[in-house]
Amino acid sequence: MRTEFANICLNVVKNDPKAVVFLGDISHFLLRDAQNAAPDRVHNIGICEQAMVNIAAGASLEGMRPIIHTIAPFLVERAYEQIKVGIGYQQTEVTIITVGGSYDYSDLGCTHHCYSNIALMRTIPNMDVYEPGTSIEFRSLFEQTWGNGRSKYFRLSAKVHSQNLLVVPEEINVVRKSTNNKYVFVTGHLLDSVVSVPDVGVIYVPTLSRMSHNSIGTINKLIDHNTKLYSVENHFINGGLGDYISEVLNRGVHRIGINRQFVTEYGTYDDMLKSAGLDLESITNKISND
Amino acid sequence: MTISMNKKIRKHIVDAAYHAKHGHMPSALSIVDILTSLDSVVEPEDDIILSKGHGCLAYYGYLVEKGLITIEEMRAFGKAGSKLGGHPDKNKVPGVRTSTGSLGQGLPTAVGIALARKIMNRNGKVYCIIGDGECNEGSIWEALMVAVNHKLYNLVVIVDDNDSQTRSMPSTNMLEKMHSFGLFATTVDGHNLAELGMEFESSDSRPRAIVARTIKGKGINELESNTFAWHHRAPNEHEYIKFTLEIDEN
Repeated sequence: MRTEFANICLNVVKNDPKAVVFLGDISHFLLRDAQNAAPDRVHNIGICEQAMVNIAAGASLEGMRPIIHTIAPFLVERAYEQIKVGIGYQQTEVTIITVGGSYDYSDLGCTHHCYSNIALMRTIPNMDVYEPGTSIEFRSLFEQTWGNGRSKYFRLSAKVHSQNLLVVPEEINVVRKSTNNKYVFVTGHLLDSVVSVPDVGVIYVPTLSRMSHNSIGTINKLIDHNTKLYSVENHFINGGLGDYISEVLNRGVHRIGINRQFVTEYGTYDDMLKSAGLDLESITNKISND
Repeated sequence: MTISMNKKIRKHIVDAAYHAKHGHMPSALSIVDILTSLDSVVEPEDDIILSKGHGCLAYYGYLVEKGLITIEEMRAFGKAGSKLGGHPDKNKVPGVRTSTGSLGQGLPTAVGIALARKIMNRNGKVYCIIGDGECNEGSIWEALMVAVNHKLYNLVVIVDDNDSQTRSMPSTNMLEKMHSFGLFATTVDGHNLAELGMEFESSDSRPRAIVARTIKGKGINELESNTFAWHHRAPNEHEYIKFTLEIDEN
C-alpha cells in the first residue's frame, strides 16, 4: 500500500497544481519520482510532526491541498491537538495519510504501534476517516474524495485482504449474507479472517466517520431484533469500528479488538495478531462459540 | 495619524475589558505599538497572525480601527452570542487568518502560509506575533527551523518579549536564540513606533525575527507595576475612567 501511496502522490502532484506533499522524514525515498516531478511541491519537512500539521493547515488556508504523511503514532497521537485545531476546527483541506497500521513495525515495539488512531480521528468533528483494505481500495477512496474540500484521514497498513470489492465513501459492502443470523462488521485486512468464519454474514466498513442513509437502510433490511452483531477490528475496542456501528444502529455490538491493553510482544505481524487475540483461531472462537 | 491609533487601541482594550468585565489587558497592551507600527507598513496582500492569541483584545481594537468589527461587538466579547472570544477565531471574526489560543500553533500556520506563497509565487508577507512565554513551546522552534530551511524571506516573526515567564521558565536571550536558529534577527524597543517601522522595512533572504522588547500593561501605570494582579482582571468604573484619562494624557 505504501507503493500505491507513492504512485498516488506522483499522480496528484502532476495533475493538481494545488497539491503539495509534506513528509515527516518517512517514505521520502519512495517518493523520489513525485519529488522529481514537482520539486517545489514535495517536501521532506523534517522530524517535526507538530509543526508539520500546522504548516499543512496554513498551506490549505492559502488555497493549497496538502497531504501529510508519516508513521501513525507520530502524527495522529503526537500531534493530536494540532490536528484538532489546525485541521478539524478550521476545516482545512488537509489529507492525513499514515502508514504502520496497528503494528506493521512488529519488532520495533509499542512506540511504533498505533491502535487508537481511528478513535482519535473519529472524535474530531469535520474529519472523514477511511481505512482502505487494499491498494486498489486506497486509490479508489482517494480519487473519489480528492478535492472535495474536506479534512481526511487514511489509515494504511502493509497488511491487505484478498477480496475484490468496489468501495465508495460512506457506503458499506455486504460481502456475504448470514445463514445463522449473526452479522460481523469488519474493517481493514481482517476481512479475510472474518470471511473464513462459517455461516456468519460479513459487512465491510471502509469509511469510519459517516454512513449514508442508503447503507444504514441496507443493514436494517438484513438484521432483525434477534440478530447477533459483532465487530472485528485491528484497533482498540474503544472508539473504533464497534463503537461506530453501535452509534449508527443505536444498539449493542459484541466488539472484538484490542481491549485496553498494550501489545508488548516482538515478533512477526502474525505474532502481534495472536498476542492481541485477533488471529483467525481467536476470532473464529469468539464468534462461533458465542 | 499613527500616533493616535495606538491610543485608540489602548482605549478600546480598557473599554472592552470594563464592559465585558474580563480580559487579558496587560498582554494586549504590550503589543499595541507593534500592531500600530505594522499598520503603517502592511500591504493589502500581507497577513498579520497573532500566535499569542490571548493578546486578542489589542487585535480586536485594531480590527475596530480597520472597520472590520464594531465597538459594540468588542464590548460584548466573551458573552453568549458574541463572535469575539478570549482568543481570535478564524471561523467567526473577519480579519482573523487563523484561530489561535493554543500556544505554539499560530507560528507554524504562518510558516505554512508563507511556504505556500513561495511555492505559488504569490506576493504578500506574513507577520506573526509570538510571545516570549509562548517560546516555551517546542513547536515554535520546529516551525523556525522549517522556515529557515525553506528560506522563507516572506516571513516576519515578531517576538513580544515582555518577560511573561518569570514565574516558571523564562525564555531568555531571544535575540541570540533567533540568530543562532538562522533567522535575520534584530532587537528593538517594542514601544517606539519609528524604530519598529524601520525594522519592518528591512528584509533579507532569510526569515526575519524582530525581538521587540515590550512592557506588559504598557500605557497604564497601575498595570505596568502590578502585571500579575491584572493578568486577567477587569477595571471597575473608577479605574476605567482613570485609565482612559491616563491614556489620553500620555
